[in-house]
Amino acid sequence: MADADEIIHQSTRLRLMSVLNALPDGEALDFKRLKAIAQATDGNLGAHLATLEKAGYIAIDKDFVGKRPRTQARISRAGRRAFERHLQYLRDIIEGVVPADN
Amino acid sequence: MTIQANEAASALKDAEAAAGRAASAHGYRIASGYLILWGAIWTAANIATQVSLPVGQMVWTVGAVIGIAASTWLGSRQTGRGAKGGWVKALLIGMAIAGFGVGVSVIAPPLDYGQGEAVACLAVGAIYVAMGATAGLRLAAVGAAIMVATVAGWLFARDQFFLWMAAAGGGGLILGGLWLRKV
Repeated sequence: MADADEIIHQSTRLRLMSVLNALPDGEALDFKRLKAIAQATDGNLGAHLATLEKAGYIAIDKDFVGKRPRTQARISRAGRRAFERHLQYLRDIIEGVVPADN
Repeated sequence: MTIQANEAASALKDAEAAAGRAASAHGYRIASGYLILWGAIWTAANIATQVSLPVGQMVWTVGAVIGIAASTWLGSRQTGRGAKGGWVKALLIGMAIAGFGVGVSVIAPPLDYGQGEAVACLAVGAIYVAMGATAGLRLAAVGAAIMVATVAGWLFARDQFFLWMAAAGGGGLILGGLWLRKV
């Protein structure tokens, strides 16, 4: 039986993880594209990414393209596992394997 | 942590939608390189064909060799980034298009060079529409635009057909490739 992941379950972080999990291993997305694809309107996007990074679910890479700074995020193996576990937990609730008020 | 069934269903739906957008955006990113590459070859070859048929044929031949080599290279880069069999897919698509061309020229040989080009453009457009049905609707829109441009050029710009195809076909592919990157 899978467990809930409170870090991932927050709606913006769930979408961020969904987007990053859909990419091939090692593929990173820059901040602007990640925000657009995740349709994140939350002003605290940086804080959400920092929370996911602190949990070890994503890695944040900062570099320069020419003179312009670029921030990219990519999912870690631990992040993929945690995300899959959380999705399984949600499916279990829907199928009644886990009581909804658990 | 308390999660109700309806909340779980809503979260799953949100997650699936976001993953779908990410997969489409990733596919667009990959496809854009091929579109810009072949758009440039298409434009150069059609301009050359409008000026002189033998020169155009030579540019098409050289362009096809460069295009296939570059497409294979683009595919191998995707394989290196974790996508499975990128160069194999690129090679298969290239072989399917070449096979279609050979088959048509044997079964229903075009009456002239322009007709052959028009049929090839329609086939390429149809392939993009078919790929777009699974990879993302923007790719399908690019394919449909190529097909419409080809028919329009055939009906209304026959005298300048190759120039039309350079601008509408090749230019359209390049613009389509740039559009796919804007996600």
